[in-house]
Amino acid sequence: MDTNQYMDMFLDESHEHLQSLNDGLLSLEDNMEDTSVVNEIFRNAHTLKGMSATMGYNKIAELTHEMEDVLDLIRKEQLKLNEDIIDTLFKCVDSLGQMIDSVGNGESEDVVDVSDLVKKLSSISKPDKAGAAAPAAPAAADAKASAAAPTIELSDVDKDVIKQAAETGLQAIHIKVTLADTCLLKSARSYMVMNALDELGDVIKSVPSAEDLEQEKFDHSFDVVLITASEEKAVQDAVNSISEISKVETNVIKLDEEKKAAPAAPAAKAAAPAPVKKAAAPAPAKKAAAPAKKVHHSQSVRVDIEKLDTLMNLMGELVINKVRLEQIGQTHRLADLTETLEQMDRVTTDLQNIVMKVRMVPVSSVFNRFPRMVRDIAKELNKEINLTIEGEETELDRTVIDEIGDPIMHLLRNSCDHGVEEPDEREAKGKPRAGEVGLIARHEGNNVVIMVTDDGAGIDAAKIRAKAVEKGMVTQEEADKMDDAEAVRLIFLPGFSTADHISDISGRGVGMDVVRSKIEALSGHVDVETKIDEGSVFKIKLPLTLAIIQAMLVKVQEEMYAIPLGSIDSTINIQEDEIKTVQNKEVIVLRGEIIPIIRMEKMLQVPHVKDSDETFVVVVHTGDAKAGIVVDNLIGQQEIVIKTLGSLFTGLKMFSGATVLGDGRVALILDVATMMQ
Amino acid sequence: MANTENNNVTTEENLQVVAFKLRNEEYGVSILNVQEIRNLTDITRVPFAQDFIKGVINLRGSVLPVIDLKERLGLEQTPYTQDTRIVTVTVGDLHVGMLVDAVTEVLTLTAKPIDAKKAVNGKELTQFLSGIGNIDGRLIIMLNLEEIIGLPKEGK
Repeated sequence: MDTNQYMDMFLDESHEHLQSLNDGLLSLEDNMEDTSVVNEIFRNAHTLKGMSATMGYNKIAELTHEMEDVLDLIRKEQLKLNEDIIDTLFKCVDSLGQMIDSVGNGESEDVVDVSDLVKKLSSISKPDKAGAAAPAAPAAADAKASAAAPTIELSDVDKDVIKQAAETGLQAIHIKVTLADTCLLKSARSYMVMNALDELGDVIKSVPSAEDLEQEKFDHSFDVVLITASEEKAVQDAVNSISEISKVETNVIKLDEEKKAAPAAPAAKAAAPAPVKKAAAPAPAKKAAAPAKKVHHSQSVRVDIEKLDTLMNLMGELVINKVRLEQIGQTHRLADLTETLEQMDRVTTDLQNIVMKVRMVPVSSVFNRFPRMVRDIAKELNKEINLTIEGEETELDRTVIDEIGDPIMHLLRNSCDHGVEEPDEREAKGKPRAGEVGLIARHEGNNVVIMVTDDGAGIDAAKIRAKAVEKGMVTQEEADKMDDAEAVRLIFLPGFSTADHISDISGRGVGMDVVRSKIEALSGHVDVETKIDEGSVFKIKLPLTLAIIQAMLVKVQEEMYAIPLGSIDSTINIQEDEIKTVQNKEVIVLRGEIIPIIRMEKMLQVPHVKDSDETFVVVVHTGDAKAGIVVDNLIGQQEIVIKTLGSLFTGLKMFSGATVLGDGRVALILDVATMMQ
Repeated sequence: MANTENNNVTTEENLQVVAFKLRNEEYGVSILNVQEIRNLTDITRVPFAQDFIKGVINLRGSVLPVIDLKERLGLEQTPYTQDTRIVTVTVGDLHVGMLVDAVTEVLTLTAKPIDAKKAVNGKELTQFLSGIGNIDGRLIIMLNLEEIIGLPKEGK
């Protein structure tokens, strides 16, 4: 089978499943008793196995199969979960990730040697199997011999559900359905049976599982346990009304009998190394419901981001043409046309909003990989760290989302490594042993703010000053003049690292300046607040979207340029003689502040057409530095759609892109940071 | 691929060519590379770009770089006229507009174009040419688009 066309789908879905596996394992690690999570993990592993086997990736399938074996035992409470098992499972997920990535790169899945993991897994699951299977078999045989009616093995959870049902007057019926030998579409028949039974009550269990039934992984018969108010007869009739069914056997399950049967196989239970038997499952009803009906996901469609970009472009084109139509309507005084265009205007505005919204992705798609990372770091450093994530539903433009992962990862690593202290040290300071690291996203006006917080040691401004002077980044006097907040910001300078020792996790001297440049490349801003022994807060401020921004349009001679509003402080109209020179550099004095100016006409070598009568200065800033950009005219503030200039202009840092104006012309967008350098 | 087609003009028979004029000479590119032919519109100058890059235009909402072919081929400049056109071409995944003096017609070259290196005495400019087609004495200079558009190496 040619599976290439399914490759993308396979990769997408397996990444999703890996993510759920990671999430599941993490929450399982927190609460080892929670078997509902085990079910979820099991299902993920199972789906992954099925998918990879279909795609012909046998190693992935083999590994997931072994995982499944272990998980199944845990699920059936025949194996007690411990940290070792969880660590092994985590390692499996990592290896799976590597294999899937390499498959995605068109390489073989053999990059990772999984034989050790497979062995480890089977050593976890096998002794169990060997011990449990042998005595279980005769017990099952006994049961079959003693009762003519069909039997089904019930777990403690199932029994709980049945017991509860009995209390409310419902009864549990075990149904064994045998399909006709000639039946071709077994899965369809089984589906019809399940549907029919669903109408009568709740199906709490089926052997084989519903998934296996769907995939025809059974011979000609299957077992179902139904909780219902109907009589046995009614159930039989319902099933018999479906064609191609050769036999239906039913049997009301009486728990008393089960109880009697249970002591009959004490050897089997004792043989299992560490059976966990919980007195009462925390939420049996909920658990029972879970396998019966599938979890409902909101409906969604995967769309290539390029298609969205095209949609966006078409949208822009539509708006431009609409403006032209409006102009025609005005020049020819066509009232009808103007009216229609007003309607159209509303529609296009809505359309534009929706297209923009479609591009928005919740930050959880980036955040969800961090719990795992923080856990690993904490283990490696022998620290105790709790990560709290807030506001993961906050949405950002897709282009931003793709880029912020690395900077956030960097900040989190820093917080874990340099921020949070060793547990003993924390205790000595009177803090809880476990450090708190927070990752918070929220809206703030037209921006999204992402904060990485920790309750660790904080950043010592004195240390930073000393280090910066030692490295020759600032002079001693400069350092002395700085207040603490300014001094702490020195960590964002290139080549600064305060870690006394270099660790694997952070402190390679390429830390914060990389974070800053990355964030600034996204037209964002990063800042830090810190208090010794109370912790630090790193605050990243990002624009909601990179695709559409507010900008000021300015005119230089006959050319039009856009300056992002985010970097504009103010605009002023000045007289030529207000421009002074300091050491041959032109400056203006604005409210007591000396601001260097940049003449756009000279800087961009704009062809001189006419002398302008007026001079406007747009005061811009990056970080703390300010500059005044001299232009001939201010056209106004406008929402602009950013387009890339394309690969022909790589290396041209002066412009962050271009935009199409209402009249169809193209204006370049100034990159203020580059311009000021 | 469209661009390999262009490279292998010498091996192609019955090659369809969009022919256009630069000054008095007739040039051509494979029709497979050509997207559309547009009238001259406002070109926004891009400061600091290479000399032969005239600027950018708005092509149905997206921004398209425009190169001046005459400048690129080292030909003398002439003013824009009524006939001046922008031929938009695709090479690999790059879309570029090319300014030409006039578009003449779509031709079919039946005979193999002559190797440009043989025809023009090994001058530097031959890197931009891929061959010369001959239709009853009418010479069509075939362009090597990849070299012409070739990503700027010297970048400023």
